Amino acid sequence: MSHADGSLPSPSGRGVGGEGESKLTNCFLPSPSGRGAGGEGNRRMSRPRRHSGLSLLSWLVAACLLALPPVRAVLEGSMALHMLVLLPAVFALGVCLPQLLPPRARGQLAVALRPCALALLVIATAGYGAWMLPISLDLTRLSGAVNLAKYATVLLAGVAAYVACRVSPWPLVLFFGGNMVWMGLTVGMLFLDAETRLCASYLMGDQRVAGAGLIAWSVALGGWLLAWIARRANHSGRAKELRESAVNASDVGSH
Amino acid sequence: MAALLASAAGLYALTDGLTAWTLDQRRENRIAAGAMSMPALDVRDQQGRGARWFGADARADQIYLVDFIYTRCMSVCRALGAEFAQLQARIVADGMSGRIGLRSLSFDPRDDVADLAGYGREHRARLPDWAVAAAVDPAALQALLRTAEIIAIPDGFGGFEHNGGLHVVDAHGHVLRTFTLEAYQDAYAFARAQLAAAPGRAP
Repeated sequence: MSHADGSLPSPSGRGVGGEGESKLTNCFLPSPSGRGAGGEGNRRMSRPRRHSGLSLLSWLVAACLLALPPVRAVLEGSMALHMLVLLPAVFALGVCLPQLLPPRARGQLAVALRPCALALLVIATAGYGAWMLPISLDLTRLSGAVNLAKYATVLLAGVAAYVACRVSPWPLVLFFGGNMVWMGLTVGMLFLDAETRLCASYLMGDQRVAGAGLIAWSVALGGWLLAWIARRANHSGRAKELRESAVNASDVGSH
Repeated sequence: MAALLASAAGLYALTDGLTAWTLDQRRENRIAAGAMSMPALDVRDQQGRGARWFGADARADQIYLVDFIYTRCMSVCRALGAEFAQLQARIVADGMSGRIGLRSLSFDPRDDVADLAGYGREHRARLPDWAVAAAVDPAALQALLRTAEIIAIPDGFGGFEHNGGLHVVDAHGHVLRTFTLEAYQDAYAFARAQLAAAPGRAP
């Protein structure tokens, strides 16, 4: 079932960044109708560009805000804020980054990266998971280079996660996402139960709050993952939805 | 495959070859490998005199027990002062004066010579066996703490929490071993053993 403007709905209905379905219709799915020369087509084609302009501004504002030294000092100065606010925010920036591309470029990106689904999932999980280790947090406080690497890898992890969710088979996403949930729960419980400070940069109380927060985040991620998987699994294998779930029109029947 | 290898390499580098999951484990590994040194530091002691610790021109036949304090501490540093007072007496009794020294280095930028002198008087710290000092240049102190991977953070009650423990250090700043604050007698025994093991030195 296609939308009124001729574009195809997304397979998942919701993206990693929590975007609505209308935004996903402009995601990696170029319109099969070939419209673009007529007036009505031009008006429909112009909507994504205005939306992208606003989104780019929002993205830049958010990124600059996070980069401000006083903001970074507050967020990095607390283990709970560092792990529960700063890292997810940078990850979310990464998730939003591909969505700033025009639909055609997004489609081309998806086609180019589809063979790399496994690598994208590895990058997403390793790029974020590495910064849940106690030593990683301390090293970011000791070394500016390591801190910069943290921002770069978490941003890249967000980009990789977004693309991976679009091009990967759902069992693969379930495997990697499930491992992230498990890691978050384990690290959270470790932080909560440890009798000594695991990070030299933060106090015990802060560590316990971070641990409780990690557990909460992991439960939420697990719930979202299950809902996303349920929608994907429900759609897969049905002939009508095979066309709808194709990342590219040429991928019809490839599942 | 490239992504897997890159991720594995990154994790390997972060954790010192999958052997250190916390900063303290990393410090222990580096000290055991002889890879940690404290850079030379200009300090002012409890009598206001300038000195250079861990410089290249220091006498090679000396070992120091170094701890990190702040004079406003009402708990751990007080206990540590009592331990160092006992060690000072042992150094004198064992004839180790001039061979083994105690060095208490303040990381609190508020500590001035009067504060150091007060701490010294309270615990009867006597030069040259036991120096209570603060860095002349705060930036140099931060560089030393960063090199030694020691992190001191405000505890929310006007004091500090820090990692690190008691360091046994040679005259040039090379960290030989660390001990918990309670194991100060073991630290002293280790320092004596190091002096005995060095060529040409008397036990």
